[in-house]
Amino acid sequence: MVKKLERVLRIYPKEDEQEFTISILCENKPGVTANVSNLISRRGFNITSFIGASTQTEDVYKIIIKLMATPTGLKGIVKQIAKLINIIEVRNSFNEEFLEYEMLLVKLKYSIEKHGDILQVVNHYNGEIVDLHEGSITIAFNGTPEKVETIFALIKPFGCLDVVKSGIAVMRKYEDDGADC
Amino acid sequence: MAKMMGADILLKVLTNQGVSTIFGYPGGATLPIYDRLEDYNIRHILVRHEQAAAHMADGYARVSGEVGVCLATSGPGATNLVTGIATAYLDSSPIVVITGQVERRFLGTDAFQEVDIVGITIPITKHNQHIMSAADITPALKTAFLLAKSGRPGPVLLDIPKDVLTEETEYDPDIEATLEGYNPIIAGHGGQIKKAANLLMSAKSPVIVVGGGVIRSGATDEVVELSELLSAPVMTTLMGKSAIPQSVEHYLGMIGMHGTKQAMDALKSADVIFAVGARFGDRAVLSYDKFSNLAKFVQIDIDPAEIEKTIKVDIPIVGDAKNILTKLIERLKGDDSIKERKRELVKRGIELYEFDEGMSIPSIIEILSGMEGDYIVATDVGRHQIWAARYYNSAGLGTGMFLTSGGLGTMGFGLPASIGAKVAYPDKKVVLITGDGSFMMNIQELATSSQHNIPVVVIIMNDHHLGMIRQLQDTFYDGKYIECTFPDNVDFVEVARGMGLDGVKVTDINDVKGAIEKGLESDSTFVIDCIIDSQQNIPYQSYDK
Ligand SMILES: Cc1ncc(C[n+]2csc(CCOP(=O)(O)OP(=O)(O)O)c2C)c(N)n1
Ligand SMILES: [Mg+2]
Repeated sequence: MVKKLERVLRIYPKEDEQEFTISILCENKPGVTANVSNLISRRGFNITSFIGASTQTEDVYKIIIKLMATPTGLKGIVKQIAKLINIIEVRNSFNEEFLEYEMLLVKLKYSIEKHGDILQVVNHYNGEIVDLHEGSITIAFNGTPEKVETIFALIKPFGCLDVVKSGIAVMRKYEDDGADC
Repeated sequence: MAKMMGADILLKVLTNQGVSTIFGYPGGATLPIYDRLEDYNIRHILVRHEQAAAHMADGYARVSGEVGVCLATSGPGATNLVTGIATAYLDSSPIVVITGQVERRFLGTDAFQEVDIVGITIPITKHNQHIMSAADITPALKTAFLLAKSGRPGPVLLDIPKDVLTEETEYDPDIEATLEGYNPIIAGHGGQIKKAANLLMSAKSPVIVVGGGVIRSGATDEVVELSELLSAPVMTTLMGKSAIPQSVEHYLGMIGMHGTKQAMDALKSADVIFAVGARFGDRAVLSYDKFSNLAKFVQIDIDPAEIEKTIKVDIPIVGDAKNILTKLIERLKGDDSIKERKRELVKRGIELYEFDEGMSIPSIIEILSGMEGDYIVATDVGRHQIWAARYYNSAGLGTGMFLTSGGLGTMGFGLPASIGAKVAYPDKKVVLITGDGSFMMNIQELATSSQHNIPVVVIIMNDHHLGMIRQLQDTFYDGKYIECTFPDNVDFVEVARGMGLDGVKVTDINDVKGAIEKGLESDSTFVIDCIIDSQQNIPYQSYDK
């Protein structure tokens, strides 16, 4: 028989929280987002990234959530989300691999003296200058979350006026056979 | 196609869904519905507080298995429903809740009587929705009924702005709503059923634990058949009470904190615990660490999210209980060895309360139980509720005819739920076992029962205490009683008389039976104020004894 307490889930959590990703396909109906985030927050887990956008199918929406949770907690959340009426499909990083991609938009303090240094980072990481004003420059970078983090560390010393991350977009690494968009 | 007003469409669709009664209370935002009501064959029960309307719809739904409908206006009308909706949600009762809302152009402006009831009820509804045009009423309402009663039942709320109710649009009764992501699993997985059958065949002392899901699924006969086949005793959770006939000899009563000793002993000596439609709630399980190590577990539930929510199970089966049990029984019967496995069965020999001479709650329940009527019995919440669950062992109790707020433990549930149940079954007698605290929480519904002539026999266990609170203070706070006592300042019989009803005060245990008989004969609600003179605590169960 399983050792004492090991069969008890959630009520006495012994597991550590870790970061998981949930990818949700849902109908584009009002309230879906509120329903999903409510389910997560009422169970005491914290969302670290949340994005939602349309898909190749009309009226079908994709929501991608990164959150800190225990593995057991994650399983519970996924089942509860799947139960919501307007949800079509829920996948999670516990049982499959996801590719991750993110965009970083930064506005830096700009002066002609810094031009060369800034441009070096931009060129090296394939950044795109979105806007250039007197006193400020806005640049977009793309990449894996790890890469974006590195870029951000490099660029921060230039003096950030504003920063926006897109949130992490994910896609399953492998599609089931015969799957078609 | 004929043009119709939103309010007419609403009433028309309700009629088409077979709704004959709605429980409600009017307000500015719902007046367009009230204005059209008389043209439809729908009985409106005018309550005295919206909370009661939700409980009535709930009581109606629990006994009939049909969707109960309640209606309230925007703002305070809607917020008054909240406790009732949560009560239905936690006990998986199918109700459709309709709330009025301010006109579309005022949404989000904090207009008079505007609250975001859809936002408020997200966590306590199976589904909820704003209806933003009259054309959406038909599909939304059809969906609401489908969702409320299919799969795991639960409350569905629709919020309708006033100007949607007066908007004219073409009425097409055949519009169907699409629900792409909603496919409740009904049939159990064949492989899992086979595994469960094998485990049961090899089990030495399997036991069956039955929850409210068996009532919702209508799986009573299958549970009884399975228990006979396996010679396995059956026990229930609080919500499972009345899921199987109490006359079944190897029915051992209730498990959990205040369950029976027989149930506890059987659980402790079991090698397989076979749970059907029971969600292993904390009060039923008593101690998760001890419970989860008792035996191997099979869990049948229609809601995948209930599987392994709290404890690990060895064989989970998602699906409808009746469906799964039928297949399981078929499989077991196909195995010849099942017939040789007849075991000596533990028989309960119904646990009787050791009758005392005084006015005690269990004695009164024993008297009611001994009358063996096929009453619908409702309770409120407190010590009287648990005493009732323990000692109301009447063989007359029909399937699903014991109404109690198990999940939320809502004081004030009893009277309105009884009224709702009586509306569903006008030919059955409804008996409410309530407490002096709980009854006061929806006492105004005596006026509703009097106006609409919906008779209920009310037995108040009047211990001049919030008895359950007193018990908790006794057990966990060294008997320091704070704010759990009521002075003798209410005459319940006079209150009943003041609302056009009658009753009697009983102070001698020998008068109890006569008073109940009088209540049962009465053609209006009859209030029996039983003055309790003992403060006896309910025993606690433990896995250690
Ligand atoms: C609405 C609500 N408020 C508070 C409680 C907490 N509570 C549980 S039992 C109880 C006492 C109930 O008193 P009474 O109805 O007289 O029943 P008794 O225990 O005396 O039989 C209270 C206050 C509750 N369950 N519901
Ligand atoms: Mg009391």
